[in-house]
Amino acid sequence: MQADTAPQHNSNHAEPKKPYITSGDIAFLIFALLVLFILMNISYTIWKDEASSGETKENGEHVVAVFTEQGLKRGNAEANPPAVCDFSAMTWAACRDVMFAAGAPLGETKNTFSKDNLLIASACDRNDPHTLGSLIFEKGTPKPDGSGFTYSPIADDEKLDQVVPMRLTVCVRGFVVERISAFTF
Amino acid sequence: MDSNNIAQNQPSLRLTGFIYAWFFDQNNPNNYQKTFDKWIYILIILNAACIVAEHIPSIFDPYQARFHQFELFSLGVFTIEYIMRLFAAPADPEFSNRKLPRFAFIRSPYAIIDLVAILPFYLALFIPLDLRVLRLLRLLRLLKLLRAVIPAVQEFAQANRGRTFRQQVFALLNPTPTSGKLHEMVDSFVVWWVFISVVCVIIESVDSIHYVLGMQFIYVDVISVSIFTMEYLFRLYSCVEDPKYQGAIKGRIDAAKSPLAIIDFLAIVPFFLEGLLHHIFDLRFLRIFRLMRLLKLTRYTSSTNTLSKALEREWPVIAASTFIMLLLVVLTASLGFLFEHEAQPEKFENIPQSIYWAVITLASVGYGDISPVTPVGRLMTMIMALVGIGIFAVPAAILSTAFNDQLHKDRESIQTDLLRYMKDGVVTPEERVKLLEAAAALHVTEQEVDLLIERVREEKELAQNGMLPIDAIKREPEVAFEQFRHSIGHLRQIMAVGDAAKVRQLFEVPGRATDDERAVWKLLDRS
Repeated sequence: MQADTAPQHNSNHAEPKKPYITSGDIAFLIFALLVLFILMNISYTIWKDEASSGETKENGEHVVAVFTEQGLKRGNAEANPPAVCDFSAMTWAACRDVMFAAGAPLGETKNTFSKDNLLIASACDRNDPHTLGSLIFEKGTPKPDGSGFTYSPIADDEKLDQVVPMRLTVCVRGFVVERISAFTF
Repeated sequence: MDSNNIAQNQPSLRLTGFIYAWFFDQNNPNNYQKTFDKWIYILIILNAACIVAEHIPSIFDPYQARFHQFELFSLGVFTIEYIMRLFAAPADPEFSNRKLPRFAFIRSPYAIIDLVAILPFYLALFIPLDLRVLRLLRLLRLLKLLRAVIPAVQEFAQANRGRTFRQQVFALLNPTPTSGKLHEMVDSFVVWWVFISVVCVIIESVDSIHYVLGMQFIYVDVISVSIFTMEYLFRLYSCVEDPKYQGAIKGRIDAAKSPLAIIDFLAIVPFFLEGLLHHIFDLRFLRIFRLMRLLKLTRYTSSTNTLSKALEREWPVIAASTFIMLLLVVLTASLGFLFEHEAQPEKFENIPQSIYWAVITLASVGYGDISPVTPVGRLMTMIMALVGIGIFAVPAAILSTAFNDQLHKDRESIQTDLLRYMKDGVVTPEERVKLLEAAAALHVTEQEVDLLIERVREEKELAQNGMLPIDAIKREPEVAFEQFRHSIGHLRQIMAVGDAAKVRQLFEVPGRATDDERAVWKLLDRS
């Protein structure tokens, strides 16, 4: 049925024989290859960015694990090795810097998109390309109805003498914020 | 040589002939060859999908045992298939004339591919093979698909010999008399990728899945877009072979403006836009447009065509009923605003806001977020809601009836085709296949087609004998009367051209004719 209703070939065997392939056909094939090349180029860029996004998420998972582990050492003088931060004396910024300093548990962590990009940022901002691939720490404030937390950027001078509910998100491909996990520190 | 003949002529080959005839004979339309092949191909594709899935730890790790069971099952099926083909080789016309048919089968390219698909796993029982090597070797199972692809390519090349490259591309992408099975395979391939890509777009929206399988979704998207882009470009390139799109530039512009081409374009453009501009704009909303790929399937189904024809035919009536519907909505909204505005100024703030309430009420949705509170408002709502049930149902009823009518007309076209095919008195197997294809597109079963063929054949035979169909004679006394007279005239013709004396002698032979027949003869002979 399809064959019956389909448009018939425009060719006619009685007509002079047409060449199998013309210069127009070759031009089209070159154009198709060009489109394919552009497509592969875009695909490669997307693939590279997605690979970096995957590494950023892995980084995030590792960071959450380390922060959770450090948080459990709060107030435990017997912990071996002891907690990296002095919770009673340090602010969030000081403790964070110690955690990410060379030789510290997170000293090896890098921005996987570019070494020039920020490792830690306060927001994932399309207008600031350096925030791509960064880690974003947020502080949780309990909702009035007790149904969970509202998260907002954590201030550098935030005191750590009390347990702080936190959440880590990462800024991945397309400046999309991907949530890693909530934890207490 | 026919496989059944082989089985009958050589008793020792009865079982091999039987297996060959039932499962492998491509010339026998009533056997299980197509079904058998279909399931084997599905299993091959599932195997390829499993190999891909095994590379994703989050899928493979929790279901390792299931993957292993499926692998054993596939191996078992492919082994049984190989053994059956080997066993049936003496009945296969390709090998039956050889000195050692089974050995000839083993040396054939397809059999080597089949063996390669299973042998490594039996070898692995004795030789320790790396798991990655085994997985790689399993990919060779895809080569088994060549058993279907190579004959289709050969058939296509044969049918398109002497045609230009562009004509061949056109035949590959569009149903033409020379398209053959290869075109069907290309169609199926595109349809499968549409399904895979749309399913991935839907699943991808689940954050927890996207978190784990982000990269895999990108692979699927890139492959889908590559396929759809090439399809789009080649369709546009070859469209000038269609008489509708004449002219290198104008023809292609016209083709690009056709609804199907626009759908094809929309299926790929979000990828390019997002890929090129995602650093500048937040184009995530474009991802949802990838679901438009589902519309590509309209090219492959006749239902959309039926619906659009029905819409086109009934458009004036639908437009009229839509106008009445809009009138009712505006009237209800205005009355609602009039009666309720004072009582509920925040809900019936203005007429546009009341329109929302009117539509929700008249369409019997009734969310309940806005409702009348005044007695007059409630009375008016009751009346309008009852009227709305009828008015809102009209377009749906028109559309449904028009769709049914169109389907009926399309189905009647099968009968027209059948009458055309039966001009020479027979329906050839090729014509039957075409009829069945048309019937399948219109959801008519094979049995119904066979009944139709039988009915048309009977009517044609009767018409050839100068007889009208019995049910027509039964219905109308006038028809019965005319038919009787026509038959008598026919008998007179026989008597006029025949040798009356000799025919009379034959009537005298006892047992040659009934008394009634003899009486009719004598009556006409006398006159």
